[in-house]
Amino acid sequence: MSESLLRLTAANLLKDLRLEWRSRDVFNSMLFFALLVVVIFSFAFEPTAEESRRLAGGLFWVAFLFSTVVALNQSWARELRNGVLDAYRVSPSASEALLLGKCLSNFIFVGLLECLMIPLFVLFYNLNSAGSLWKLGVVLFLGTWALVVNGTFFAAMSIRTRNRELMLPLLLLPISIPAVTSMVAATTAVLTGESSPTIHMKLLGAYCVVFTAAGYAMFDMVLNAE
Amino acid sequence: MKSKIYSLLAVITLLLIAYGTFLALGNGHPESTVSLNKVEPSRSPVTLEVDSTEGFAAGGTVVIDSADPDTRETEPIIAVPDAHHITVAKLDHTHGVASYFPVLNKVPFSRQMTSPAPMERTMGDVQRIFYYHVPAATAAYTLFFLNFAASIIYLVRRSPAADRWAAVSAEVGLVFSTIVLITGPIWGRVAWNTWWAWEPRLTTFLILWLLYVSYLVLRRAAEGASGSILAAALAVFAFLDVPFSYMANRLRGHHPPPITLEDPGMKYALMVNMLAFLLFAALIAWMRSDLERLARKISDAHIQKASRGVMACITLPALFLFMFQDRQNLNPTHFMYAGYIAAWTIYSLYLIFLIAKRSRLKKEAAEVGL
Repeated sequence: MSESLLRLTAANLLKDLRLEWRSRDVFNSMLFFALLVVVIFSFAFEPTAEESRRLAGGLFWVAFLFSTVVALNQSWARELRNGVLDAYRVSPSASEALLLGKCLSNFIFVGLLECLMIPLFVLFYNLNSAGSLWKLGVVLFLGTWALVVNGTFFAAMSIRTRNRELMLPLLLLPISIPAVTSMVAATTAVLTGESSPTIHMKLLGAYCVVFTAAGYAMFDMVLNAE
Repeated sequence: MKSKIYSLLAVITLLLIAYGTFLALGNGHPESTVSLNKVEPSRSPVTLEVDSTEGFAAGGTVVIDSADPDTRETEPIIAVPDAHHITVAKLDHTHGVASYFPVLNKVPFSRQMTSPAPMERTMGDVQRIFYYHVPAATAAYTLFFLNFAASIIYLVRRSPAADRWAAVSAEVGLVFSTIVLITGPIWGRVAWNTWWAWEPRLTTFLILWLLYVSYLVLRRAAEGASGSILAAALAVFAFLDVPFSYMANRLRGHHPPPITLEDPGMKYALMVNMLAFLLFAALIAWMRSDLERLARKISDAHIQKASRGVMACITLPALFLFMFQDRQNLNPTHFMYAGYIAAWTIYSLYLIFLIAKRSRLKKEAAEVGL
């Protein structure tokens, strides 16, 4: 990775963070949405302590998958409105920096959201992890990156289609099924302590590497698609 | 010249499908049976006690199988004394110590070619869905791979033909994979006693189906060259996704046993059907590709999707599903016919769709003066 790519990525990341710090519209809507999903799930399932550990992994990731979709649609819509994509197309700077910066900023938003939501999850579902917490941290890190990296790429793709916002979940959800399967399996394995999460974590790691590389390789083509 | 090859291919394909269906569908007898009693090796004739001698005749050959491949042997039948005994000339190994061992009727190749595949012993007629299910799956995988290859070629060379083939192979592949997803549960209801099992191959196939539906939705939502590039990028992502979905689902457990075909008659019927349906897929894809070229020539009119028809075909069997949800002692033959009818309903619906599209396009072409 060249130095200019790093600098450009950092500039994009800082720009996104500053914009978000001033408006907070993405983060607030995402936070409220995730909160609503958690509350609605707890009404729908009425989890008791024993079964909640088994359910929590699935509920947690479904809540974040949906709130990530909400956030990602917003993140590119702003760039389109301000003509950033067109500006990027005529500038000589590497377009991959735009993707990487956007991925990192979305990763930070979703990560922050998770930090805020986990205490609430523990509270609502009486959770009490049987496995070690650092493994849960690794699963959270990899799972969030897997959601965000594909989500950012497909959001860039879907804003170029006719029915912009509607398109993202249709493209993202099928691609994400294997990642969701691994995340949920790994989280449940850590929470219940009944099986080892290592193999699911490895698979999730491989998924992250492969799809980050694929997104990185093809973003330029998607941005310049005419 | 091209139309001659085209009609020749069409005739060959239809004949092969008819022959394959004859081999698959016919009322074959169970050409295998089981025996429990212990038999010792002997130089002189030995009489085996079996469940049924239907289909066995003196002068034929019998395969005496067992779990251990070293003790498998083929012996001539010298007599069939009654409905439960077969006499063979000699026996080289000991068979049937504690468990059932299968006794198969060895059919000469000429009879394999002219008579239907034998009936499977445990599943009965419903196993015959296999002869449509597996070729459709192979065709779908081949077409999806073609879609991936065409997308890569399009991304590198930007040739319109590659883009056309990518669009066509995804659509035809989706039709074939729909057949797989419908015939599979009809078979599973009898064989596994459940319509659907979250088994890795099934789940992977379902995800594959969802991925290519989303591919066609994207093609419809984004037109022109930019749409082609987006679709090609999605095709690459979809292809990368398949090994992950297989691995992720394999780790979740649930493994109903895979099926292996032992009987040469079954293998032959499968081979004929495989060839027939791969040719059929090639023919449909070719036809669809010609239509696509015509459509693109007329205008940049957007690609009509088969997905609507596909959705209707999926909701129809839902009725069937509820009727048989709690019933026991299902008739495998009825389920076999259900599988064949479902497959042909979809094939013919898609063909009708293509023919209607062709006549519409021809009219349009005449109007623009092409």
